[in-house]
Amino acid sequence: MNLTDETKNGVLVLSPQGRIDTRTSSEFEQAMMAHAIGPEGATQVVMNFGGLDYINSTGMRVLLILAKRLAGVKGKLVLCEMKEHILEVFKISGFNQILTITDTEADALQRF
Amino acid sequence: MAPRRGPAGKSKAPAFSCKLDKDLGELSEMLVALEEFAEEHGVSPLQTQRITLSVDELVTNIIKYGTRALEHTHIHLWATIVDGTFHIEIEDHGIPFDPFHEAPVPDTTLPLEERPIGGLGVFLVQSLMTTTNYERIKDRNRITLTRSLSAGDQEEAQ
Repeated sequence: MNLTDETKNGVLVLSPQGRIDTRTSSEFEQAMMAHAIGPEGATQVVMNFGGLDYINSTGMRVLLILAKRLAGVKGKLVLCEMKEHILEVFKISGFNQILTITDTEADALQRF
Repeated sequence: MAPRRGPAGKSKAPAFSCKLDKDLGELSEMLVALEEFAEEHGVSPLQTQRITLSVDELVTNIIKYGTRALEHTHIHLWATIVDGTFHIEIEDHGIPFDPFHEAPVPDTTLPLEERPIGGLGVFLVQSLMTTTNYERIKDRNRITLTRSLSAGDQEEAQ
C-alpha cells in the first residue's frame, strides 16, 4: 500500500494505492494517525480510492476510526472513486449510510 | 507457501491448492495466487474479489485467533471450479470455532457514533458467498464455501 496526500482548497486529499489487507492495515492506520487522526491532524478529508484495488475488514475498521474521530471534531470525511467490488462491500456493511461516498473527486471536493 | 496447480485427482476441473503457515505475509501471497487462478479460468473480476475477500477474512481470523495457541501449524486451502460454481475448502487445526454461528452478527443500520469498531469480516463472507458451511472433523475445522458464478455477477450480493 502507498499513500499520497495533497491539499486542495484547504481539504486534505488522501489517495491510498494498492491493497489494504490485514498485513498492511497497520501501515494505513499509522498514515491516518499522522495525517488526520492525531491531535494536529486535518479535519476536512477526502479519501480518493481510485488507485485502491483491495480493502478488507481490517482496513474498513481504520476508516471507521477516522470517520468517528472527524465527526467528534465537527470535521468531514468524503470517500470517492471507489471501484465496484469495494463499493459493494461498503454497501453490505452499511458504510454507505454512515459515510459520504461520491463518484468523482471533484464531486467530493464540492461537499466542503 | 506452496501453491500447486493442476487437476485434482482424476477430475479435469481446474484446481488450486495451497498449504500456508499461520503468517499474514503468506496469506497475502496466497490471495494473489488465488486471484490469478480465478482470472485464468475466466472468473469475472467482481466475482474474483468476492472470493478472495471471503478467504482473506476467514483465514485472517484463523491466523489471529483460532490458531493463536499453536506455535507451528498449517492452514490448507483447496479451490476448484465445477459446473459454474467456485468451491473453496479451508482446514485448520485451531480451536473448534464455527464462524457462521458463533461470530456475533453486526447491526449494519447503527449510526456512525454507535457503530462498534470491527466484527464485519464473517458477515461479509456470508453476504458475498452463495453457501457457507462449517464442520469439526477430529482435530480440524473445515469451512466450505461456494460461489455461483452464473448468477449475481451484475447485481449486488444479497
